Amino acid sequence: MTRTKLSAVGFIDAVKRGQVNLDEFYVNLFTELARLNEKHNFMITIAEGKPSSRGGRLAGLPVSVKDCICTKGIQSTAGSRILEGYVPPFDATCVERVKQAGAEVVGKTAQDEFGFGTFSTNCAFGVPTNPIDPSRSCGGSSGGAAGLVRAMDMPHVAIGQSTGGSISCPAAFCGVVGLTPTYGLVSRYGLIDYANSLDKIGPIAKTVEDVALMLSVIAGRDARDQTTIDKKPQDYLGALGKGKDDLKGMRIGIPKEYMGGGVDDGVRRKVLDAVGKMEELGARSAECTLLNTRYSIPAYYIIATAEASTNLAKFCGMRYGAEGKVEGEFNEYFSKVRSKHFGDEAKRRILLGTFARMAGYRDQYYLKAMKVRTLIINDFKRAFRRFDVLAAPTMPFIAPKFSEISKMSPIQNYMSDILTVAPNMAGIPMLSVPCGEIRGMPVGMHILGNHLEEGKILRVGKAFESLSG
Amino acid sequence: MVAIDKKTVKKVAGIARLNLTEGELRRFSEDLVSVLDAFNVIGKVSTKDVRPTFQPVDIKNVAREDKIEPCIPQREALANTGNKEEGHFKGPKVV
Repeated sequence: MTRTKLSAVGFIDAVKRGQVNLDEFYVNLFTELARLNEKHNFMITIAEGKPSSRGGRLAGLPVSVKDCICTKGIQSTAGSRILEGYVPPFDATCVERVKQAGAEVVGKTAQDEFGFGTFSTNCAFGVPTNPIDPSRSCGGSSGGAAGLVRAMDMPHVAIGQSTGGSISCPAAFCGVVGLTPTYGLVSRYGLIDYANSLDKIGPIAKTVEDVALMLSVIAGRDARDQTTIDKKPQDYLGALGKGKDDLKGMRIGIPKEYMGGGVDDGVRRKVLDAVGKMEELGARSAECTLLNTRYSIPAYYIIATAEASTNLAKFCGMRYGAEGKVEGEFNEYFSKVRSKHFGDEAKRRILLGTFARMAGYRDQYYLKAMKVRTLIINDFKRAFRRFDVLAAPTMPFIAPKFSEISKMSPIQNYMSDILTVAPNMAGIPMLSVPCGEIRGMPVGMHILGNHLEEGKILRVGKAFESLSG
Repeated sequence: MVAIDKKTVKKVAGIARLNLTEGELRRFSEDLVSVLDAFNVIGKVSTKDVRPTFQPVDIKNVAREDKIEPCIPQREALANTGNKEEGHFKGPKVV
């Protein structure tokens, strides 16, 4: 069986033609998953099985799912001790859709507890390490997902999730492709929420085509998530162009605030080189401005933690997850279980979020942040009147070493998200594609589009990918 | 803008149902001081006449069809806890 190095799209085609021995393929796959996990901690749970048919749009494809997305019969902890042992009795909508399309869920990927982190270092069940250099981070919070995509030389697509950059950041640090869709394009039903007005589920894969295929399967309205957008299902894979021609006449904006002092020189150069290459094929670029960028970190963290602190209120040692001996009055019991099982960063964000929406401070922090969010969205709207897409570095630096991360204060940690939180707050789609390397570590380029313009950013991504070979 | 102290953090922790050790209280208080100090910059943004955005994509009046759908059976709903009795969840005393 030599068909293991195919892309997901190529593999599915081979499965449908009867050219893949699925029994053999899955035995090899689980051996490989166990081997990689031993070395890198990409997964919290490996779920052995194999697809029962060869039909469907994702026929026979192995899919990993971030641990914060519920999978029927497979432990789903969101990377937190407080959900250790929780086995959902239902599938999230996106999981249900990939299964119906013939894919096999092969396990749950490691993440920062509830998505609280940029480097996948706030993990209750082992920190995933970068497959290119294990002394470095995979990025967060979908670190296990991106690491696994990069490391496993077999067809596979990961389903990740982003609140403030958790798909793009690990995709950039691991040198793979990550798509964060428009808020509401993919159902959040069955997602263990971080922040409801910010959470998005999206794919991470080796190629733009694989990402487009997965989006075509998981996108679309869901009666169980009232925030899903009522939009006709689209074939994002079929709509991808042949590649390079798609760049002709494409207007690319370069936000000057995203190329500033905090961005590593090498990273900036790689992204500008990438834009230069696209210009050679007919794209036109110009500088633009996103004036309120400097307010995006505070606004994002206030909104995200305020929402998280209410979401996490339900974890109280009853009904599911960690529990204790039921005794004492309810406040004592809840506090005891929560204090014991939440990690440090979860506690920190619960405190910050609770404070930001407390009587007396609510207008000053929470409401103010919601208004700043309006200004940030207006910045993007203005930019998209002039440009088809925006291009920027995904992260200001390459994957840092764990020894560097451990020296960072919480605020330095939060500041690392400066390039990803604003588009996430605006709910616009974004694609991170690899655009070169610095000292052997990958650099990611972010391609941002207007609401529901996934098709356009995927075409640009595909064109760039075919150009860089 | 406000300065946050240990007393306030203790109060916030109580509201959030978290018991903090002395060490945690000290550490989180220091963290929150520096985080809020950096975040206070949003106080300088003029937001007069700006409406808050509670959700980035505007969707209105979404309702599902009013029909009966299957739900999780009681046995499955109770499967994730040891604290149960006679088909019910068992919880701590409320009153």
